[in-house]
Amino acid sequence: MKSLPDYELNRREFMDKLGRVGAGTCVACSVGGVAVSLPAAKASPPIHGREVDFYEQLSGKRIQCFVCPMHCVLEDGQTCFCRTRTNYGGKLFTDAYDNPCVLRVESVEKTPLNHFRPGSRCIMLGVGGCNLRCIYCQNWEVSQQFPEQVAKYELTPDQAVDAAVKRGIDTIAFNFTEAVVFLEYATDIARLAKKKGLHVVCATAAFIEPEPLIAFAEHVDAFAVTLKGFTEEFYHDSIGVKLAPVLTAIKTIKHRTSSWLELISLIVPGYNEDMNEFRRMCGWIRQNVGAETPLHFARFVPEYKLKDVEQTPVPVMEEAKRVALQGGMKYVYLSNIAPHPDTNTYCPRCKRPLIERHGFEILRRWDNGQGRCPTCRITLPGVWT
Amino acid sequence: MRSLVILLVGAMGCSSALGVPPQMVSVAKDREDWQVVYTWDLLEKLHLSRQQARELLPYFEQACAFSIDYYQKLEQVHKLALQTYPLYRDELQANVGTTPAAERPAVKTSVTLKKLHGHFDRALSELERRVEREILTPAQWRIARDYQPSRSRIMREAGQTGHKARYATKNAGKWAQARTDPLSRELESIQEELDQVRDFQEPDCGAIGRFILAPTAADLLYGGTGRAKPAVVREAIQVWRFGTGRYPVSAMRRDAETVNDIKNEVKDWMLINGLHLTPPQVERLQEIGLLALRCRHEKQANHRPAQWLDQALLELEGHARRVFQPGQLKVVDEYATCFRGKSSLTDPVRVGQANDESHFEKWLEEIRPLESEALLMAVEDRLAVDQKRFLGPLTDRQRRERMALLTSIALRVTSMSDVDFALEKTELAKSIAVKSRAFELARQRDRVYHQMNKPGRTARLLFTPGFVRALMIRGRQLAAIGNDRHDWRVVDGPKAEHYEDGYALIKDEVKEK
Repeated sequence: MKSLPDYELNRREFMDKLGRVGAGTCVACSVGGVAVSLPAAKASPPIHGREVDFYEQLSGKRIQCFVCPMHCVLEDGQTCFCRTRTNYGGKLFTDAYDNPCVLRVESVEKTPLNHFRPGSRCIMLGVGGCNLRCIYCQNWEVSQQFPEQVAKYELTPDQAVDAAVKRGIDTIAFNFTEAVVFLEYATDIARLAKKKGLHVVCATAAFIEPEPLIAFAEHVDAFAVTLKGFTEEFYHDSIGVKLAPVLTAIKTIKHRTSSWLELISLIVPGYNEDMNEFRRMCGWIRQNVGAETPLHFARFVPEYKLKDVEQTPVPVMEEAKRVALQGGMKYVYLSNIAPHPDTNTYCPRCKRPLIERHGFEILRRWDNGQGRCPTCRITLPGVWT
Repeated sequence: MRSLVILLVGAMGCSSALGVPPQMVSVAKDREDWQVVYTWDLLEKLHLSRQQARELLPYFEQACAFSIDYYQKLEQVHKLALQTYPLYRDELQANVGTTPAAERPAVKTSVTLKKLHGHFDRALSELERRVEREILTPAQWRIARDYQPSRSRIMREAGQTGHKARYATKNAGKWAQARTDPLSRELESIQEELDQVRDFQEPDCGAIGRFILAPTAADLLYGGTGRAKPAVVREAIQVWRFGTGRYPVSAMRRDAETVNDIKNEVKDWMLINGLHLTPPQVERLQEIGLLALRCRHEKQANHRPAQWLDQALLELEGHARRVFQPGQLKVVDEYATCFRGKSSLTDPVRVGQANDESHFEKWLEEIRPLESEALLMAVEDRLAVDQKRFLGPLTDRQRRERMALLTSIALRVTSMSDVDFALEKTELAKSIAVKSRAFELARQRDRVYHQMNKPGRTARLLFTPGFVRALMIRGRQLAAIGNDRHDWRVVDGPKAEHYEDGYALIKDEVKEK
């Protein structure tokens, strides 16, 4: 338990704590795991928080969270693995509400979405906490903390939407940290934003149950889902969760919602750079969500626990792109390397560049702003206006 | 009052005090060492009196002490550089990111070396100012300020003919003629402003510091005043000519050259890595670079006129620029040679990255909590930093305008709510962001070069033997990297914390229940 400075428990302390809880609790622990336990149990819900939509009450004051596939079982006062949902007297409340830790105006490409209203400016926000434990997280200073430890702003959903309207920004994006951990806050913002005619996009690792996902996606125009690898082994060792629920969530977005979908895969040297893995991944994507789904390969830069690992060599990224194209994918991008020709959008038929980019900046557009190739006259899949 | 040089001439038995003695010029030509000649030349122009020369000696001795100290420190820094630079260069060459273990010591050494030069320069400049203030007359001060060391002028004045063959070519004639046209005048004015900006940002010591306070002036000064050289001066001369027993001048020159070569390699790799060239691009650029080098060789071997080379390089520069994608061209155009790569070259802003504020955003964030007086001081500091780093010298009006802009933005950010600031800081930072004036001038100069049918900055960056060699290495790396990639997949690194570690357990049966 390395990343919870104020609330650290090692395994022995954890078991010791559990042992002292009593017989009823022991039974509970035998059927359901307890997530992060705070030293001083939280007595009352946060002033700004709200009740979580997806949980069940168990015996006593125990509850089980069903937002993400972790299914944390919580005693009174305990907090989920994600560090953002706490059992207050038998009710599950979110602590990640009205308290973003990152708030910025950026272009939608940073999500990254290349086929969704390219170049549009977004209010992007993220709240502390995460339900994953990626060993290379680039925002680990905020993601591996409790929301109240890193909260920097007070921003209600109304205020978030008003701020966008006031500034003429027509998109709100949930980015930087995992949206699943502040799903309630994100849902409320998204609902209000849609009422005001704004667009909503979300970057997520999609470790989420289908039901909450579908409820959230009702208000979301586009998802940028990070498919971090394609083996259970990699997900277990490097992400700390399972792969299967992520694949289910991706299929859910594609087939049970109307949201636009793009996929991202970060290539970490020595961890998930096997070209056969990419081949299988692309095969799965093609079969399950379609070859027209844009796929971004992102370059790894040493961060967090992988400070000693080299940056992904660009030829490896290029090879991954080749493999993806051979595997039938139509729109494959390379991210986190600028400048590079593979950050551009090309017409799949005549190979002419339609949108030329430098990082997240659009340098030139040849698609008349409509994702349409002027030569072949085919329109690329996506949301262009 | 008789001038020091006239006294010296008498002592040396030379025939004339007009111009540098021809014997001295011949020796300088043979040795390729013009320092003494320039010292003589400047002394002659200054017409220093014996009294002034005597007053100068204490300053000269201090300068000698500085130069000994500088040389001793240089030895240490060179040794460090030779240890740390190659490792850093090798990592850049591998293009998989640099490790702190290699980057930090190399960058630290590079900064130390720069500081050492700067420190020596500042110390000499300070002495120079004192000499100008306390010893020289205003007329002499103006002469020293405007002094331009020129081999051709000195050789002409000394009646040497060697320079004619070298300098009196048809190109030189055309160049002299060309200076009168508007483009040449524009070029000269750009260059003049560029010099002013550079001088403001990194002031060099002037002619007094370089030629009169250098150990090579000892013979002239002490000979003219009839004084014996003290130990510190003798040691400084010794160090200047031969170095120290532990670190002879030949070793110092060799080290300096090696250090400089590695530094240039680092700069080349920085650009190549930042461009993320594809294999066909590397191949094409390599071909063009080789052609450019061949043209340079051809010009020298067959005495081709400079215009011929300019035309060839201009054409090749056009070809090279067409190899790049628009984003890559942007990088080439904005590339400022650097030992430590800017983040835009080494680690561009990443997808979903939260902490990528710009320099000016960070500054705005820092000044937000400040009270009015501290805020004003922060604004003044900002202006000073901007001038030093980006803008160079400003007129009073420009200063006032910049100050007003910074103050208004500073006051605005202090009165903003946290949320408003978070959402507007990028735009606010853009409104006060400035580009390097030196860089802008260099781009203007490039534009004029192109109008004059001369190659520009791209040619200067790309058509060097070092850059072409680096491209060849990168080409080989790219060809090899795909083949052996699968052997690299052996990692036993840290593991993620997950549910089995006691955080949480997935128990689906609870859900069923």
